[in-house]
Parts: sequence; structure tokens; C-alpha cells
Amino acid sequence: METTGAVNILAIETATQICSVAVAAGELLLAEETLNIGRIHAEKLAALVDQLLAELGKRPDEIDVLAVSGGPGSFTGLRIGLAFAKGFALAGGQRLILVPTLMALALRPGIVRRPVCPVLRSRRGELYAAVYEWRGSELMTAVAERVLPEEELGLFLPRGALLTGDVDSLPPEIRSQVESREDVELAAPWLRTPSAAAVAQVGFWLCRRGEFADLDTAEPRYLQEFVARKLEGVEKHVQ
Amino acid sequence: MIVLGIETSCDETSAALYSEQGLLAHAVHYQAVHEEYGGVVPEFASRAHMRTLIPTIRYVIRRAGLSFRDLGAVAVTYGPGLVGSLIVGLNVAKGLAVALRLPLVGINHIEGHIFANFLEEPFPELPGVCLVVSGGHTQLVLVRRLGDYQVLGRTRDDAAGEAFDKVARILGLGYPGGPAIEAAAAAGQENAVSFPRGLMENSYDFSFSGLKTAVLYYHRALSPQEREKRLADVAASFQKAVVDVLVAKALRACQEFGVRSLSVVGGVARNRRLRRALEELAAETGIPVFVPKPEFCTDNAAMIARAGFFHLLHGVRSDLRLAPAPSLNLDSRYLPTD
Repeated sequence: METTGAVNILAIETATQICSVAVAAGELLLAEETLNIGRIHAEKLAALVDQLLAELGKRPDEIDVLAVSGGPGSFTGLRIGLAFAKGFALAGGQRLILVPTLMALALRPGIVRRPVCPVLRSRRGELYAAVYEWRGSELMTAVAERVLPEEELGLFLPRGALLTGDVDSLPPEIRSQVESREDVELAAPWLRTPSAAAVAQVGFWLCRRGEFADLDTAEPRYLQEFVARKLEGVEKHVQ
Repeated sequence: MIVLGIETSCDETSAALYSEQGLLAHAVHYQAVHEEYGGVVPEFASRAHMRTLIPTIRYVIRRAGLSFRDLGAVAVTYGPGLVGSLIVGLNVAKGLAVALRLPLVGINHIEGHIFANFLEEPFPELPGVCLVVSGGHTQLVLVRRLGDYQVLGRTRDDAAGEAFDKVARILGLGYPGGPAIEAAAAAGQENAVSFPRGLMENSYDFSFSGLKTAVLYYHRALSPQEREKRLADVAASFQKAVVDVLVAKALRACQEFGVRSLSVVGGVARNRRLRRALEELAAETGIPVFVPKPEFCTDNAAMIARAGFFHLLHGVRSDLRLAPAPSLNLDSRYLPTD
């Protein structure tokens, strides 16, 4: 593949307990480093990026675009990845792309003729889920990402779906219910985890379509409203 | 060397630039979202930092007429504070440091407050005692020299600013409690109600929960009409009790350690009643008292950039693996090498 003149993408995936960084020239992956050793993102992410660029002999200003796994996922993980990307792009003037985490996850099992349903477990024990379909060699959204109670997974899964993502951590009864469906297939275990290479690929598609995020105001896709209790019957006091 | 300072340990989003020429620019974005909740909601604080930190950094760079290539280092608060807030500032700082290949230096937030009195001359002479009083912290620190600290005492329950917030809530005065109580107290008699002073004679530790409970019981025992009538007196008496404790402990430490200055920093140092008491103390005892300008009392990145500048000059660098430390102690930070 021709890489001269290709867009250099630095991709970051920290939405789950996997910490992964990659550099791609267009659709060609140049390097990827992935750690699955728990929530170490706060310590490892910056050093991983630094090392990867050094391995490639690339200066930070040779990166054209930052593609960040933008959620849904672990709030803390998403913040670490996005905050790092924002600081990097602020300094270097790169464009920022927020890649839907579930779409990158759906890409990993490869081009299949089935609807692909990636799921990630939220900390509250719910599922983040969506459905994607391949059109040619590009992945399209069929059902938008959402928060789903675990017991509704069976209803949500379209006929003939390929299920990927946090399958192993589903409650046993939900898992056996899904596995008993003859039309549903599970992605191979080694392809069910998030990876920055997949984030780079989706980032490439979004970049080609000009779908950039605003660096100043970009936020992770939390998908969950956060509600706190307000004070009642008091006036505001601002000095 | 121009140091970019970043501070996001609680609910203020702040950036500043400090160099040999002094403070070049600084900005603080105050998160008003917490007011209607009566206190800082950590999740909202973290979300707001994500939306406002980049524009805040852009602003100070533009304000100083600089570009990112002019920066020499990045200093950032890595603790103590709210972890969800710390990670935003810390990771933006790391992104900048990696992209610009700049040294990174992590700053202890409490040490940052100590440096708030070193932004403009005259600086306090050392050794000195520094009282750090804010919504999240109340510590009495012996500053032998910059970079060399001994925490003499800290609060055993509520921070002083937290006591103001909680009492303001009891009295129905809203949030933040410091300015609300100060405003209500202006028309009150300080000796109207005799609230307890948690002095703990043999310790430099503080305790404000007994005082808070005393206000609560006093308030509960009043009829609604009396509550309204006595509001100013109760606020003034409470404020005086806090000020008395802070001043008494600080003075005792100054005398025991024979220091050359007393510094009072942190959001509560904006309180005018406390500032007046400190002026009186300086006049009576001859101990020089230093209180930063109000804008440098509350959380700000100017003090972080200043502390970073100091450490960088002494060769201190942080590793890119620097992790947020929500419960960081002042004693546990590295000392600069001589």
C-alpha cells in the first residue's frame, strides 16, 4: 500500500481496562502497543505514545490526526485518553476525531455478512450496545449505541448477529440464553477486545468524511446522564 | 524558561504562564454548576474540566502573546484532590509534554498554595509557618525553606472552608458558604453566641465538627422568627470562632518554632475577618504576616506554575508515568536537590 502522503494517525484506546495505542499511515498500521493488565492507563498511556513514536522514528509533529476511542466506556479511561489527545493536539495543531468505541470494537472480527453487535459492560452492570453492518469494506451504523439492561440483550440482538465485546463477563443465564440461539454467532475470543488499530481504521474513515471533533469542547460519549441532588430553597451566592 | 502551569484538582479550571519575568498570564474558570447542589459534585467537576481546560490554556498563551513553541516546561497539579478532576489536567499536561518534548513536573497542590506568596515580592522570609485553609484542606505547615516542609497539624474532620459550607447550609445561606457567611456576619455581633473553639491545647491539629454541631443545635432550638432575627449574630459568632482557632494555632506554631514569617493561603484566606485578625496579630506580635491577593488564595495555576518553575530550576522532573495522587501528603513529595 502506498503510504507516502497518507494521513498519519495516532490512535488511542482507553475505554476499557485495555490500554492501546497505534500509529497508522492511512489504512496501513505501522505500530500498535496494547496492554491488558488492569487500569494502568493513568500511568502508562503517555509513556506508551512516547515510546511508540520513538520506535517509529516519528516526531510528534509528523502526526496529522488524533483518533481517540470516544466512548461509551469507563468514564475514567475515556477521560485519560481524550485529555491526553487534547493536550497533544493543542500543542501540535492536529485535528481530533472521536471514534465510537463500539464501532471500533465491531470492526475487529473482520468483514462478515452478519449484523455485528458489540457490547461493553458499564460499571452499573448495564450494557452499552449497538449494531453495525458492513457495506463493502466500510462499517455502517444499523442501530445507534445505547444503554441496555443485561436481560434485554436477547431481545436487542438482531437475527443472525455476530456478538462481540464483553461476552465472557455476562451473567451465566444471559450468556447461555444468547448461546442457545442458533442464529447468533460469537466472535473469536481473541478478537473481542478493543484495540487502537481498529480505532485508527474507523478514524481513517471519519477523517476521509471530514468528521472532526471540536478540540476545545469535545467530551467523551458518556451515554449515561449523571444526576445529583440539588439544594432546595436557597439563594445562590457568588463572590 | 517559560512554564505553563495547569491546575484542575477540584472545581477550578486554571492555567498560567510563569517565567524569570514573573507571572506572564493566568486565568481561572470558576465552575458555577456546583452552586445549586450545595457543594462540589465530582462528576460535574470532571466533565467541566474536560470542556474548559483547553480554551483556558489557549487564552493564557494568547494573552501572553506567545505560541506553544515558546514553552519550556509544563507543571501540573497531581494531588491531593478529586481523582476525576486531577486526571484531566494531568493528561492534558502529558499530551502537551509529549507533543512538544517538554519536561513535565508534577506539583503537590498544597505546596502550590505555599508558593502563592512567592508570586510577587516581598516574599516571606523563611523559616516560616504557613496555614493552608480552604474548602478541602486545613493544614499548618512549617516551611524550613522552599521544598522542605513539615506538616505540624491538619484537620481531623472538616476543613475550615468545609465548615463554612456546612454551616451556611444549616443557616440556609447557600453555597459557597465562605462569602455567604461573611456577608451575613457583617451586620452581626461576634460575641452574641458563645460557640466552642476546638483548640486541643497539645496538638496542632484542627477540628471543626464540634463547632458545626453546636451551630446546628443552637439553630434548631430557635423559632423561625428568632432564626431570622439572630442570623447575623450566629454567622458572626461562628466566623469569629473559626478565626480564633486558626489564629491561635498559627501564633502558637510561630512562637514555638521561632519563625520569621506567617503565611496564610487557600480560599479561606480571602475571608476579610480572618485577614483583619491577621493584621492585628502582626501588629501585636511583630511577626510579618503574608496573605496572597484574593485571586491567588483560591485554587489557581499561577501558584502551580511558580512552584514548577522553582523545582525545574533545581533539576526536578517528573516521569511521564506520573499518576494522580488523590491523597498526596506534603511530606511525601520529593525534595529538590541542592
